[in-house]
Amino acid sequence: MTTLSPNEAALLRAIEPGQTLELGELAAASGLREAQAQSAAESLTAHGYFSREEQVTSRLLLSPEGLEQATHGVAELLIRKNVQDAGGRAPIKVAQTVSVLDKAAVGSAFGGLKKAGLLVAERGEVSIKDDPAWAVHEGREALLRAVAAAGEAGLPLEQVPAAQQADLEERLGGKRKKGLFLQEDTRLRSYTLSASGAARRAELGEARPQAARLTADMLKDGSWREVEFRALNVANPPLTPCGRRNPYRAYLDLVKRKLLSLGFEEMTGSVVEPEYWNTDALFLPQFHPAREIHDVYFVRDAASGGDCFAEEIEGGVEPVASEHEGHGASGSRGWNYDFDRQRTKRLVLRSQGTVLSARWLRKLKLPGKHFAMARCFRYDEVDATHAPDFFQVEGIVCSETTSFRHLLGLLRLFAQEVARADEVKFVPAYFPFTEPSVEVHMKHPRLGWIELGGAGIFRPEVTHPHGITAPVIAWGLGLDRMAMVALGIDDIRHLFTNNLPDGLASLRRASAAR
Amino acid sequence: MPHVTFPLADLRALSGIKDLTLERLDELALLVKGELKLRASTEEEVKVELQDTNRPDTWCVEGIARQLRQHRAGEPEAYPCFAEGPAAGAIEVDPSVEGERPYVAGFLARDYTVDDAGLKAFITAQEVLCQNFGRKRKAVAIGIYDASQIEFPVRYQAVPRDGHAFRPLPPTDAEPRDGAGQPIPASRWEQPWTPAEILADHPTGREFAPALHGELAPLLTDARGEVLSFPPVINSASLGRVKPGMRELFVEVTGTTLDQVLLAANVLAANLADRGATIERVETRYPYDTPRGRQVGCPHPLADRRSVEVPLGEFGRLLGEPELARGDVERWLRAFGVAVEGEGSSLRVTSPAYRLDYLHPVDAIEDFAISRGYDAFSPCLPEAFTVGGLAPETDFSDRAREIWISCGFEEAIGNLLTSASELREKLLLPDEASPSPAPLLHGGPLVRIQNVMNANYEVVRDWVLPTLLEVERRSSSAPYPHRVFEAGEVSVWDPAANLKSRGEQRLAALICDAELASFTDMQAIVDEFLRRHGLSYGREASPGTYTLVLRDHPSFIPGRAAWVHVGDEELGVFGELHPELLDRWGLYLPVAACELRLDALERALG
Repeated sequence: MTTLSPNEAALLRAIEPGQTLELGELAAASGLREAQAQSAAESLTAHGYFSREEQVTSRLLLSPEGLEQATHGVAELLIRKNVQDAGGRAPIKVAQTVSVLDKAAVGSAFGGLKKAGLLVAERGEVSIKDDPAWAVHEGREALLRAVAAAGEAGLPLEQVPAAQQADLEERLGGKRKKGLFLQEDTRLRSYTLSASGAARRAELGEARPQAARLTADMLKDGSWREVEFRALNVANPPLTPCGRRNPYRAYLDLVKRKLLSLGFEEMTGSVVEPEYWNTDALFLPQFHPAREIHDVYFVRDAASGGDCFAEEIEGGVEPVASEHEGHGASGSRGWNYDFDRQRTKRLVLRSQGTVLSARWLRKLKLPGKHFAMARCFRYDEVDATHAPDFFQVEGIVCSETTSFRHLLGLLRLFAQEVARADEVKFVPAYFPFTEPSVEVHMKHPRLGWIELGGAGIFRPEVTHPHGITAPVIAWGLGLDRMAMVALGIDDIRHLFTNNLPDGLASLRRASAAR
Repeated sequence: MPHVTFPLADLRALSGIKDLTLERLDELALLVKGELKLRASTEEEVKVELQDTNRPDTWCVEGIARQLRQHRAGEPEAYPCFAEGPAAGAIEVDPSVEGERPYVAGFLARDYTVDDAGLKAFITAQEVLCQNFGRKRKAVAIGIYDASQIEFPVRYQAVPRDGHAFRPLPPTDAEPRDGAGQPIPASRWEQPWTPAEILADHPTGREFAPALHGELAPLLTDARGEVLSFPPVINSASLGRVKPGMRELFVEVTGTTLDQVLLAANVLAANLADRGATIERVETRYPYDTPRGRQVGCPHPLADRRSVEVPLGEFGRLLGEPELARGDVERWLRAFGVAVEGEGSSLRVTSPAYRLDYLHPVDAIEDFAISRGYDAFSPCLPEAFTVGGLAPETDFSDRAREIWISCGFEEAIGNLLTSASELREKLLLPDEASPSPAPLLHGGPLVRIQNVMNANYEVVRDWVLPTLLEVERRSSSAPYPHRVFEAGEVSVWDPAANLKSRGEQRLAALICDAELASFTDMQAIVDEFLRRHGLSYGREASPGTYTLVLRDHPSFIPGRAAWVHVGDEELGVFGELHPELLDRWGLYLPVAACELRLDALERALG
């Protein structure tokens, strides 16, 4: 036997065998809202406990234009009156002057009359043709007034005179059509208890009190035994804001875990750096065009408003200065210029993650593998491809036997492990601080060949000042683009929550989509 | 990075690769570290971006062709013009230029009829060199002239800017305008201009005025006193107009560093030689000492800066192929256009005179690797065992993140750059000039950018809460309650610190809701967070406890803010944000917030 919901049971109880009740009556008798009663009644009908009858009644109502003409008269008749008042013949302008009605309505009525031959135009004047066809306009005027008199209830459709049927159809407004009349259909459903319904009703006991949920009191006094729990509505799951990781942060975490699992140790540092670490230690000459690819933000001194300088460079600048000048430990020819030692102390915002690698050389123990996720800053206009600041994932690998082939192997490993790409190609590149230098491109399943990162072996001018003579692999991965693909973002600024167009709403959508 | 554009036909002709296609060039461009912009290129207009900022010789179609040609032939090409020899002309330098733009070099190109392609390529090379290598003509500027009209010796001097008028080349603009924005009448080009007038009113003069160094105007004139040019700004209309059909050219380079000037001249000499010109040397005579003496010829061999001694074993060691044979190394180096000498286990590798990028043996080693092809090296993995690990502060911060996420907070990640008003006025804090009411949390002054590009990004944030308010400001369409946090870095101005700032790890959070955003709601979470670090609330400081001090902070409602202390460390503040602040952010629900110093907590826990 079918289990009845409390609402269904309430309906069954509300109707006596042999009774026929309309939906409104059923709702009133059962104490349900009409919508609830309807859904329960339909479900009872489906079970076969109710039989249903449906009656459609149609009523006529007036559109705003219809109401206007019901009040002031039908446009066609008003035009006729104008002509009659002028003695049976009037200039077109006079005939059309019906100030009480909308101009468009008058215009189209005038056109209709001319077309039907009821008005005859000659030399800018019109005259009336006496014709039985005028009757239909008079009939319409009567119908309009009748509908207006019926008010909000409307005029039952069957009361329309047969002679007006055709005209009514033409002037009935609809969704896309303007008209004088509107038709409203009402479906009236009534229900009767079927034989099986009557039997099922007899099995129902007395109604029990309804409860929305179990309460502590019910448990305490045992009243839960007496109640019936109200039916569930599962159609609108409520939204509960939950704790969630930031999607971009989660992506960076994933990369971080990968690097940890590959044996990399993390390096960290300040975003404010002296030029010494940001550029000089990386063997970027103070004059060279290579410096242009590292356009930097300089820090302003709060006291003087001018450039801001570090107090001192730990360890002193000489080992690096001498490399630039060509008499350093590496034996390099240097850049052949006078190195400005004061400039090394000028403070900038870190422009590349490699700065941390350079700093780490002082503490490097062999063998060593290190990485950093460094916030970097570039002098760039902020747009969909440039965030005001961004992350670079960079690092170094060093042992006594490290070589270019290890560099290639490492890059291929990154492509496989971090970017899940099997196909890579190596392209000669230029970075002022590495030689040889290489870019690794990978075949992305959707984007085709894209650059994954740049790398190389640190120039001796970079490592020797810190006492390191073994080759040091320096690598950097461009993860922004891949994070954007992974997160379905096409504006780099949207990696950062403070730039998401709808804040948390966007964040929740993004993490749901993942 | 430098970009060059040229017709593929020109490269085909110069490289001798008659059937060169764009697809093939895409691969071959690797030899010059060039990236062919395949999608933007057509046969008529090939676009290549050159990566090697230290190899200006590759920034032109001739240079690209030369590298391809030598690689195909397997050996370096000879350039007799770089050998020492007699000079066909001279440039006399006047002492007056020493403080302005001290160096000049020039050469003659004969037996070559200027054609359209060659002239275009020359102008492209000239522009790219002046722009990138010459730093917008500041360091290096180039001029080219009809040599048949010049009477040697050429004189290089500096003159007062308001004297020595001459007719400059008109600009290429369709409707040139002067410094005041007025159109320049065509008749003006028939009259002489002083250097000062050129700098004030000639479009090219205005563009390159910043490239001048001193108070005077450098001027090149010929033996008759006829003006060649006003370097680095503009050529004269009489001698400095070069057209196809001319058969004798004079090329000159001026600048601030002698070797840069000579290198640029060498590159241009090699380019014209590649097009069939005979290069003749011109000697510059200085009245003052230069790094290369008082008589400096051009093209110059620059012999002292081109060779490196590389032990054979270094190739193997750096590239990971200890078995490399000398013959292989030599073969591929020669195919890259460099000379190899010496015997046995040491190689003396010498770059051509149009390259000065051999600073160290590693530079020759890379040339070998590129010439042989990176694909010829089989990748292998580093063998040494290392232990991975996070930096302690990252580890601590990551664990803090997990706790807040588990407490129902949604994680944000914000930019570090922002505007000062977002960190100060909008948080009801006094401006930068006033002392900070909470110096540990945020400084008075900010870490401020000197060369601001956009006022929205002028300072580094010194606390995180403003970032979260920006998130909240945008979040009104998200169902409430809002619980957001960020664990992230800040930079606090600190004049006593070496870097005038200290970087810190912070954790800020906020709750925004009609009902659930009271002081107590935030206190519950802060308490939970500290409990998970083994700290519980105590009235008095003692091991294992934290204490709360009620003290106002301008961002919070008076009397509704508490400061968290553990041992000697002040961890931060939490409470209910001031309605005036909420109003400034356009927030219409109460907000409870906190800002905690994670480093301080980590220190306090020991």
